[in-house]
Amino acid sequence: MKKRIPLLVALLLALWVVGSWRAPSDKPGSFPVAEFGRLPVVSNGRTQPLDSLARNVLLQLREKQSVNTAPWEKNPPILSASAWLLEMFFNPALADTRPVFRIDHPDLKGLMALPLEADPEKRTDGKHFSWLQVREKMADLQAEARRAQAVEQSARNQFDRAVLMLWNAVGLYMRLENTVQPQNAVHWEKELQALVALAPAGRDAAKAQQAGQPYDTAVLERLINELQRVSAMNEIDPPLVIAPYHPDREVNLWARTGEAVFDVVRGEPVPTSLRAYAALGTAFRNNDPTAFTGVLAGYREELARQFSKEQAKGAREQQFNHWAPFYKSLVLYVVAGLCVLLYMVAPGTFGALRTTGQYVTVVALCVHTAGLIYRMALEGRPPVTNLYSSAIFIGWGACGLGLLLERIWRNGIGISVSAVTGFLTLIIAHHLSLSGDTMEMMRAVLDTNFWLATHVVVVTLGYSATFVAGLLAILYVVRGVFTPSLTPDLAKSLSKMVYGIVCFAALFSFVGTVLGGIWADQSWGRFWGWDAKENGALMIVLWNAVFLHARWGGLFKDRGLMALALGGNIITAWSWFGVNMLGIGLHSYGFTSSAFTWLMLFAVSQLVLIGFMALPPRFWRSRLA
Amino acid sequence: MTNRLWKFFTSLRLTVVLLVLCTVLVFLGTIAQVHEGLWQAQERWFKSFLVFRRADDVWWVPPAFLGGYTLGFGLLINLIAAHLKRFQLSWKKVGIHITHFGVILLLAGQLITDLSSRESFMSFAEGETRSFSEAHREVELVVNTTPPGDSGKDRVIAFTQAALAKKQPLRNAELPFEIRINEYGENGEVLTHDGIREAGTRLTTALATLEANYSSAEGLVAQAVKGAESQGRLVIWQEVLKAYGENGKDIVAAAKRVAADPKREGPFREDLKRRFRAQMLEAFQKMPRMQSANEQGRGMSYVARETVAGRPLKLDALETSANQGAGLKMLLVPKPAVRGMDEQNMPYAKVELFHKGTSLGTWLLSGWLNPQEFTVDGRVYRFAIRNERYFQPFSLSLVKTTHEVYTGTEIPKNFQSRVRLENPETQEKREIDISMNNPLRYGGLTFYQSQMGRTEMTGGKGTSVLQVVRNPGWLTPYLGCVLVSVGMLWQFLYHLVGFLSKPRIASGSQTAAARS
Repeated sequence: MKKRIPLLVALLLALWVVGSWRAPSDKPGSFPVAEFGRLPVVSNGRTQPLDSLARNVLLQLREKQSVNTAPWEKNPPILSASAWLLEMFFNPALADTRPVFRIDHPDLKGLMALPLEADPEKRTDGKHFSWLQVREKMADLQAEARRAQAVEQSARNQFDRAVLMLWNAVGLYMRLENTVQPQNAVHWEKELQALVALAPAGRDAAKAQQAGQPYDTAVLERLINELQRVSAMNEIDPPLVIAPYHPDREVNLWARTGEAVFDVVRGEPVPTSLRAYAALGTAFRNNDPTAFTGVLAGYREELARQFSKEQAKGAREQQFNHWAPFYKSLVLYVVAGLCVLLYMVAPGTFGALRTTGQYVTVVALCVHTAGLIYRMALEGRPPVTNLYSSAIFIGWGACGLGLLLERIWRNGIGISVSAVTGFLTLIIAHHLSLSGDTMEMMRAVLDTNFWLATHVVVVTLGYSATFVAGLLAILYVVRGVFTPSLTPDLAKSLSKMVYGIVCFAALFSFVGTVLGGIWADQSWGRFWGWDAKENGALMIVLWNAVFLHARWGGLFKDRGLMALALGGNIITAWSWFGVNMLGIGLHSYGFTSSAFTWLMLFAVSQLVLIGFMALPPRFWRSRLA
Repeated sequence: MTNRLWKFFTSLRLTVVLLVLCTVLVFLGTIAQVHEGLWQAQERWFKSFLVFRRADDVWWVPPAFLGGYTLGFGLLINLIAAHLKRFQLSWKKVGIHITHFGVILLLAGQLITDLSSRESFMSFAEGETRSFSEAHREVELVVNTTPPGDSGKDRVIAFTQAALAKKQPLRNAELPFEIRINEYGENGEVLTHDGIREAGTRLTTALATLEANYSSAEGLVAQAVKGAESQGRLVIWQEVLKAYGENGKDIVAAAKRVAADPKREGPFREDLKRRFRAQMLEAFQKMPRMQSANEQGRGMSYVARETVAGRPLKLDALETSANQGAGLKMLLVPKPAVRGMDEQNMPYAKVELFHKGTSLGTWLLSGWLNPQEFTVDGRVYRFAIRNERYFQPFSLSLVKTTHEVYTGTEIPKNFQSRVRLENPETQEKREIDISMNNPLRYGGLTFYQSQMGRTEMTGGKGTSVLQVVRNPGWLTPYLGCVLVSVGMLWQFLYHLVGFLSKPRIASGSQTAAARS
């Protein structure tokens, strides 16, 4: 029985992951939130379910994918992203009371005249605020945002960045509230009907005015007022919810509500989506779930005739959002890490924990892999398309290498590599996801699955391997200097592991880099252009070559080689993140100051470890020979 | 001695040192791009033998460093020497040999590319045909004439930029005259006299108004009221007021106080005037950056520069650049040559034509100007300076351009040019799509999709710019990559198989057992 415990633990965790697959279905008699969240919308250049739109906006507003409607209470009610979107679309007055703007900077709270501290009496937690609260000082926020925008990115301080974040959040919020109806609409369906009725007379009046003949001034004025309201909607670029309605035209694309209204006023029939959303709004306001369900079902059926592909994709993506495989593998990595940590403290007592850790890591890697494949299928792309997915993929590669090491050496080192890299890269990925949609479309020059699948994947695996080698070196120096646990045997196996991994890293980073050169030759006509990102990759190749030649030539012994592997950590982090912050070259994603701080801290920590590595063996707690 | 030298060049220690230096160089050369720009940094750090610190450098630049060529050649020599010394044919070493041969190929290929590749561009609108590409930087002087009685086909005689720079007389058997280069410059701006006069008048008027506005203490308060209206003026007022010990919160009140003080108001007005004058001249000078091709903007910048330099504007007696052609009413302003990525030189030449020993007059030629006409022996000739053209035995016609963006965004999705390739020699006549990542390789050249637009000038037709690259070494990286990959794979698999086939004790459980 005791022998089966590791397997049992792993199975239980696997069951948890599999069991959470099923999304909660809509209860009859309530609003069909999940069904609504599956509706397709085009935002950020791609078709996605409304659920993704809501989650991505919420991530940017409050770093969570759901809404806590009363964070000052002990057991506050939680709104799902789609339920919140429903309110944003059809009951803005209620949505405006929800505390969805997260503001942490005290000076910014001061600027916006918001409460600094939590106070349940005043219904505030001091961190989350509603539109009604934020709106009060909008003019001041706008002035500050203008000022902060003029400051160069790298020179902005915490306050400037907080201001710009909030300003961006305000823009997103207004966009959502203007997606299916004008923000100030009271009864949009009726207002739309009135506008449709008014249109012919209005058009006649406009024609007469242009021809210099007498016309009905009142009608024209009303029409112009209405259109001004609608064009104000268009100006802020809301998501495109109106399905294509020009089957006869060459350009037949998804459109904004405002654009569709303009076409209706020009005399075209009312598009299905426009009518459906207006009817949904009426049902929602009347608090009539049955009517809402009916309209929604009818609309989905009509959409299915032409856009079944979009609807199916929406459903799949919603499923993915719900399942959250990367979050789950993150939890599993933590469990595996704890197991192996205990095992390392007392290998004799907790022998079974190593096996448990190994099994849990296998489960984690399976979930991680499933998530990667699901994402690839959703996007129709190879695994790495942007910084976010590179983090996920680096973690995946490193975790796989760790398990491989564990299989060969069976001493817990491999598991700790998997757990630590898996955990850290997924945390990094989570923070990268806070800046918006992670499945954004690829610019023309990047729009090639062949090169994304070869160059990017291979070079990213090179990153993974270099990080794994660096992490092994960290284990070496930390265990050696601070604990007596680095036995000569362990030291020997660690140095063999590092050598093997660096060989792998050298191969992959070299091939990846040259493939990148060939891609550049295919798209710009030069194999090598000394672009910042190219140079970063080259530095990794050179550094791995330094390691291999230093080892072959016997120039460095174990500790020296380990120090080189630590240097590899700095270089890889630089190549992965640093070069993007320079604001130059073709791979520039802009300067993110928090990332810069972390990068600096990481580099300094590695230098400190190299310093420890240089300590003469008599200062080490472990005896190396 | 030779023995020691041999030892030095074949040592693995040298390899490691060179590789470390390469890593550092690549790092420095990357950071340098932030301040120096890609092109400059590349020339200075990578395409050089030594890098020296310059006075205007950022703090981290070392006093001297080895450049990319030194390190690259160093590695190449080290690699070849080490192989000559240690070469042995065995299964164990074959991977390393293949890898290193691949690396040699890559280094050599890059050198070939650096020395022999040529980039140019082909720019056309839908419906147009080109049988040449144009250089980005190099120019040529062309003389163009229609021989009598011929089929109406133009004859074009071109002289290279190098010939212009040497300033030797340009002769050609088909031309009954010779062209002497009196003056040549790599970069120069051409301004029309009319433009300068207009800009000069505007500047003089503006300066006179400024002078009048601040001529008396009475006018000061009225100016303060105006000053409070604009942010730019307000700042200057506040700064000058501060220097006179005044609080700048209410500048009108402060102006009243200063105006009432006969001791302060004179110098105060002079200071204000000086500041506003400087600001105005600066604004005039910055003009062309905002409206680069604009005649008026260039004129304004010129007159402002002259005024700042303290040279009086002689608007009535402007210098002429030539006694014939467009140069009669033009002024040429030489400028320092630029080397930046996005900057463009405009070479110019002042030439004199000689026919049977007598001068026909002087002309100004520049990339700014259209071809200019003259007549010799009853025949009409046109000449101009233009970007050097590289002619091909085939032609491309732009059939259609496609420019797609993702719905509801400005993110480009696809640029594509459909071109018709015609080669009379081979009887080829076919259409091809060129898009991002899908270049056309033909006749030793590669055509890449570069820019795309739609201009008013071409009547709403799509325009396309193709990057044209001739690179005889383009295959070497492909070969080198394959060789290095195969070599490394071989070597590592060889080791891995050896490693895995050895019996091994799990060291973890061993230590665990030792403790318990």
